[in-house]
Amino acid sequence: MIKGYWVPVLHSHLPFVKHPKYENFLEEHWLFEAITECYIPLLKRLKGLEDEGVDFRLTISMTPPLAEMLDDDHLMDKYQKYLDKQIELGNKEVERTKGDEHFHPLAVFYRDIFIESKEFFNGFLEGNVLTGYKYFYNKGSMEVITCGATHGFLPILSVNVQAVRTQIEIAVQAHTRHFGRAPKGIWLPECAYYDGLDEILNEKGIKFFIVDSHALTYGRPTSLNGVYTPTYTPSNVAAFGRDALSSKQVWSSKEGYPGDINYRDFYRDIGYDLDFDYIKPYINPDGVRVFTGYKYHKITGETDYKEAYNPGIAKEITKGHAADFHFHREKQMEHLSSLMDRTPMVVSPYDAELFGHWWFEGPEFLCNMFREIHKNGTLKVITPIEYLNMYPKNQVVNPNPSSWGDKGYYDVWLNEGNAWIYRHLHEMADVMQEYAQKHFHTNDSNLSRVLTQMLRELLLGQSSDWAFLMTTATATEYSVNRTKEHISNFNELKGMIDYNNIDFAKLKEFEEKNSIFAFINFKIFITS
Amino acid sequence: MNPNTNELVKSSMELENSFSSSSHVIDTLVSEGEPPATIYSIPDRYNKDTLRVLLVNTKKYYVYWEISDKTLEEQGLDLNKDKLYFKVSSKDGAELFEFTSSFALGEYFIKLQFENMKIVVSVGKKVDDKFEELFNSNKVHTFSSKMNLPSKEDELWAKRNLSWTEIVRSTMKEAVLGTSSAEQVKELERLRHFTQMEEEKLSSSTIHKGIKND
Repeated sequence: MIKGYWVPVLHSHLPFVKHPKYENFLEEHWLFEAITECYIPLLKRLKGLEDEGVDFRLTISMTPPLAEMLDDDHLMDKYQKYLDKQIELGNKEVERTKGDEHFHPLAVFYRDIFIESKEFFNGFLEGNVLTGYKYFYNKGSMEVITCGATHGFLPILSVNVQAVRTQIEIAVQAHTRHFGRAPKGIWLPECAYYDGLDEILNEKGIKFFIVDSHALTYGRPTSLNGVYTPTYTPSNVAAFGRDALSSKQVWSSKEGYPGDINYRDFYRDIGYDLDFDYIKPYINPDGVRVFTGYKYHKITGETDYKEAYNPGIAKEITKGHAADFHFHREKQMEHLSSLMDRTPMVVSPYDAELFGHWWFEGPEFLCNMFREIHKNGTLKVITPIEYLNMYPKNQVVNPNPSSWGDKGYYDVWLNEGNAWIYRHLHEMADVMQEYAQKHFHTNDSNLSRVLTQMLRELLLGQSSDWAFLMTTATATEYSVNRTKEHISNFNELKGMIDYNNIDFAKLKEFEEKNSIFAFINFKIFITS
Repeated sequence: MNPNTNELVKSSMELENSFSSSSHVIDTLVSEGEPPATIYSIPDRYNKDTLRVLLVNTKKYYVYWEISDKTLEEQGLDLNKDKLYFKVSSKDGAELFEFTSSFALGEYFIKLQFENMKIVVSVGKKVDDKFEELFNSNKVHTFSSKMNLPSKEDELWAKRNLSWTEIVRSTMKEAVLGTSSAEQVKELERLRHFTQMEEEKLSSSTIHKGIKND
C-alpha cells in the first residue's frame, strides 16, 4: 500500500558566463566543474538505474542560461580542453603518488572519473549535456521544467510588467527550442512569488510552480493541508510547497547527511595543498589557486586534521543514508495520513549543484533513494503533473509573496548592499519598452540588431545571481562588474540609436560575448 | 475545513527558517580570478521623474526616487531650502507613514510592518502646510506573516478536468446578480457561464462548497 508520494525536485542553474576573448577564464570554470561533478555523474547514474530496471521520477529545472551555455559551441570546445587538462593532471598525480597506499588509488580514482566523463560526454551525450536530459524527458522518467529567462528576481522586476512577461516568454521559447516541447512547470527564480504573477504564468501555459512553505501557509486563505497537497492560484496554476523537514536532512552541512565524517572533504584540494610550481599549470593562469577537483581527504572531523578518503566506504554509507531518508519519509507520511483525507505528498527541492559538487556522494545517495523506493513499494516517487492527474481537485489559495532565501522574503536580493542596481534595471526596462514600441515596425535590420542586443544586455543584467553574490560577498567584484557591464552596454547601444551612429565593431563584440538567446528579436518585449 | 489544519500548518512551518538557500551551492562553486580588466561607467542619474516602492520583508520596504530638473523648476522647488515629502498610503487612502528628503535623487528603507495590504508611495511638496502630490509610485501587495484560515464561504476548491478548468466558487449558486459591484457582476456572469458549460460537458463536474471529494 502506498503511504505517500515523494516529489524530488532539483534546480539546475548557473549564470550565463562567456568570455570569448580569453583562452582561460576562471569564472567559466563554474560551468565546467558543474558538468563534471554534478550533471554527468547524475545522468550516468540515472542511466544505470534504467539499465537495472529501477523506476524513478525526477523533476529538474534547467534554467535557460544554463541550457544556453550547455548548447554553446565555444564553451563546449573549452570544456573539452578542460577535461584534457584534468586528465593530464591526473596522469601526473598517478605518477607523483606512486607507492603511497592512500593517495595513489585516489589519484587513479579521480583520473578515471575525468576519463569516463569524457567518454560519456562524447558518447552517450554526443557532446551536449542536454542530450542526456532530453533522453529521460522523452522517456517520461524526468520532468524538465523551465525558469526565468535569465533567473531574474521577478517580484522586483515587476514594476515593469513587460519585464516579467518577457522573462517568462523567452524561458518558454528557449525550453521549447532546447527540449522540443513547451514546459509544463517552472522553477520561479529563487522561488520568489509576488501577488498576480500567476496570471502571467497561466498566460504562458505554465501548469505548476514551486514555492516555499509560508507562501501557502500564510496564503489567502491558508492552505488547509499545509504543504502536503498542492493548491491552485486564482489563475489556475498549481503551487507546490517545499517540505522543510526532508530538505533539511539533505541541505544541512552539520546535521544533514553530507556532513558524515566518511564523506569527501570539499575544501582540501591539491590546488591549494601542493607546491606552487607543480600545480601552476592547472590553476588560474594569473597564479590564483583554485579547486582542481582532486580532493584526497575525508571530512574526518571538525579540526584541520584530515584522513585519506575512501570512495568505497563512502559509497556504502550512501546506502545507509538512503535507507534512513526512506524510513523518515515513511514515518512522516504515516503521520500526515492520519491528519488528511488523502494520500500525502512531500516535495523536496534542492539545488542540483549540491549533488556532486559540494556533496560529492550526492548523486549516489539520490539513486540509492530511488532504489529504496523501488524495493520497498511503500512510497511512490512522482512528478507534480502526475500528482495533479491523480488529484485534480485542490484548494484555491492566493500565495503569499515569498522566496526561499534567508528569512523567506526578498532580503537577500534587495538590501543596503545591492539596492543600487534596481534603479538602473528598472530604467532599462522602461527604455526597452519605449524603444521597442517606437521602432516596432522598423525594416532596418541594423537598428533591429542594436535593439535586440539591448534586450540581451537587459536580460543578463536582470540575473538574480549578481545581487545574490553581492550579498554573500562571494565573487563580489565579478558580480558588480557584470551588472555594470550590462548597464553600460545597454546605454552605449541606446546611444547608437539616439545619435544614429552604429558602431558595428562594438555591436559585434557585444553580440559575440553576450550571445544568449540567438533566436530572440527585440519585439518580444512588446508581444510577450 | 480540515480539523487538523493547525497541525498540518505547524508541521509545514517547522524547521522552515533553520536553513535556506542563503547557503546556495553557487557559493562554493564560484571563485574569482584577477580584478576585471574593464571598468564600466554607468549613469549617475537619468533626469526622469521616478518613484518606486519595493518589498524587502514583512517589516522593511525600499523606496527610491528621482525628481527631474524640469519638475523641480516647474514646481518651484529649491531643495537647498525646500523639502520633498513622501507619504505611504494603503489602497483605501489611509496614511501609514511619511518621511522627508532634501535630495532630488535618493533612497529610503522604511522599517515598519504593513500587513497583507496594497500600498503606494506619493511624493509631493507642502504649500501652506498642505501636501500637494507631484506623482506616485507603483503599488505593491505586502507580505502576510500569519495564518489566514478561511471561513466556510471563503474556502474554495478547484478541479482540473480534461482541460485546465476555471475556479468554481463555493458561493456561486447563491450569488444574486444586480446587487453587486460591476466587477463582481462581471465575474459572476463569467463563472455562471463557465458552470453551465462544465455541467453540459462534464457530468462529473461539481460545485465545490468547501468539501473535498477526491
